[in-house]
Amino acid sequence: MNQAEILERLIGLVHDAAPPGLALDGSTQLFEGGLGLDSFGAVDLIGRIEEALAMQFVDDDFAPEHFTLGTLAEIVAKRRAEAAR
Amino acid sequence: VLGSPPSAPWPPQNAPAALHTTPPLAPVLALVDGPAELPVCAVPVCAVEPVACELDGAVAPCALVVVPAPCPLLVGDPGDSPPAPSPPSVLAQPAAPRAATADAVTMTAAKHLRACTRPGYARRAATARGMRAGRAGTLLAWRRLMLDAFAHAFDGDGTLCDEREALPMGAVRARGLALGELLAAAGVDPSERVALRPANSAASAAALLFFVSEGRPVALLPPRADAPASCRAELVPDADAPLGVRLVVAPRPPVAGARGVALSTSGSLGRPKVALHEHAALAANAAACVTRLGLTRADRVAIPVPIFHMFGLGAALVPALLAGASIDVQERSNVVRFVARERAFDPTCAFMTPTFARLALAARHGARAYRVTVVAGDRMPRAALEAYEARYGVVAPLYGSTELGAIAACSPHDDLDARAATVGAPLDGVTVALEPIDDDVLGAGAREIRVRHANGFAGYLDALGDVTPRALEGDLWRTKDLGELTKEGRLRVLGRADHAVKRDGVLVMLADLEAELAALTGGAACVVLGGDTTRGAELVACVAPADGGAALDAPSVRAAAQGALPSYAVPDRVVALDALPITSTGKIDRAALRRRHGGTEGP
Repeated sequence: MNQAEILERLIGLVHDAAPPGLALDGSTQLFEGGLGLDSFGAVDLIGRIEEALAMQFVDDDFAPEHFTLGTLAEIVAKRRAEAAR
Repeated sequence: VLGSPPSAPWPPQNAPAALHTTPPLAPVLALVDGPAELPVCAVPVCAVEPVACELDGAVAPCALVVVPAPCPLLVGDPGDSPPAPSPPSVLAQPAAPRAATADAVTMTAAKHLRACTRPGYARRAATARGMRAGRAGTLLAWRRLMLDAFAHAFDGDGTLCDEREALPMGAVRARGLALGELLAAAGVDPSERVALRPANSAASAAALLFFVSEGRPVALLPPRADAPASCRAELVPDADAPLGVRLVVAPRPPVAGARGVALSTSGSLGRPKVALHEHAALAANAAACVTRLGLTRADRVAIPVPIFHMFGLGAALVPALLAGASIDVQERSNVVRFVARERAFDPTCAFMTPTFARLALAARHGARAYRVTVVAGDRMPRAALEAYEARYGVVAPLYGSTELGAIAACSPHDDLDARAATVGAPLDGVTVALEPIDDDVLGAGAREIRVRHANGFAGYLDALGDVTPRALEGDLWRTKDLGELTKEGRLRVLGRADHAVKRDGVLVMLADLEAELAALTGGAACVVLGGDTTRGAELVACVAPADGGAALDAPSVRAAAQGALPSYAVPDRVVALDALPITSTGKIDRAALRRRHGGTEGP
């Protein structure tokens, strides 16, 4: 699964909970001005991504530069590649 | 006064003029050496005792303040050996100010000294007798003592950070001075209360610490609250302003108001009230937190909780400042941001709600040792506490309120059983009494936690800026929480006095029932609402799955409860939800649940 496909999966995972009318693409913010996730939403999303995409985040992934769907997809791709090695 | 007189002139020549407008608080009379590892900038208080003393031939109300030495503000015996670990810190206090001569004060000081067994204390007790001479030069103003603690607080090498900037403490002080000039230029008198709408930013924290450390009146506004009519000057966060805050002054005459720091209660159960804390009391309570939590200048303190609420301000921000620690205030905090800040700031301590701790645990796979994580605002179930500790180090529960500040807290050195089951011993200056509640519903056996707090709030502030003194029963504040004291003197908080019902003649603590249901459902989040008690106490359980858990089925939860609990404790109704609603402060929103799912229990 390449990064674009992973982004599609992420968009699928957040689609139902996203505010109506919000454009979902790589630039969508996870928190304010985007999906508006709080701690509960974030933990829920993390759990669902890890389950759906068979990977685990590490603490270093929780960084401000990763707070969009696009950079999140990048991280997921990287962790999946590491796990596959 | 114990120990030798200060070598520097006293009072200091450069003491701010505002400090000389003293009543109703009064001079300090006694100093006792005590806890080890006293942070250079902190002045922990072992006891504050109201007494009346003869000073210069007149009787004046005084506070007998027992502080540990060596103290940076007070000169002790240079020949003393380094102090040993902390003596007992909870000391009895009289019910009301009483007449006392210098002799009586000496006796009281000696009594405190006798409570301590170290040889050093006996030596000091002997020195105490020298007090009969009543050297005026060694009398200290309690207010000044406390505010001087702040004067030293900015001397350390700590930093005040947020995700945008890291201010050395010297720069924090400089910002405060610049803010003082800004206010003066706008014609705002130092005695005038200023409304501050703090964000959890370094700029807002610096502004807040300016008001707190200078003893200037300030009202802290929650994000959406209106500024009180008594405040014509308001400081609003503004990242583009040089000081990070913008001053707005309404064109109306200033209102003279009571001094102190005004904090809004959460108001989730009705109209928010505004509690006024005298600066010195806030500082003394914070100093007690420094001692109990063992904060030092080596600590790096992460504060994801709001600094305009008592937990964030009185138990985290001000104590961290007094300890000379570095501080990270976290805006728009959530667990992902918290972890991101953790990497950047490298904290040793964190202050959070149990809910936040649970979510942080659920979001992460790794481990990282904190020296201590302080939790408050709700009970942390033992299983959750142990799971958190296995990966992130010691959890110290703390108990307090907007009105009283921090009341009790566990020390990081308390054993696991104490930390899991109690909120620790009452803090310095606090006496806890458990009063049987005469209540038809709760019946015999229930005991309410009542608190005598030397450093609690002065009263409620009304819209005009006047203070209604706190209403006390005897001199005890009613917490409306039920509790018990362990034989070691630690406080166990059982739940709200209004979160209990009587069924079949048996008292059912809703918090206990919630814990039982959580265990039965594999860790689901549970809230039990007590229904109208006059018709015989309906119990409604609202349940939501644990993080990542499967959806719950209401009938099977009730069936499980029937199989495991006595009949009087089985909920009449179970409402299965996807998630429980949360207030802005991270607590479960019981009021919302009550509105939506019944339970007519008030308030």
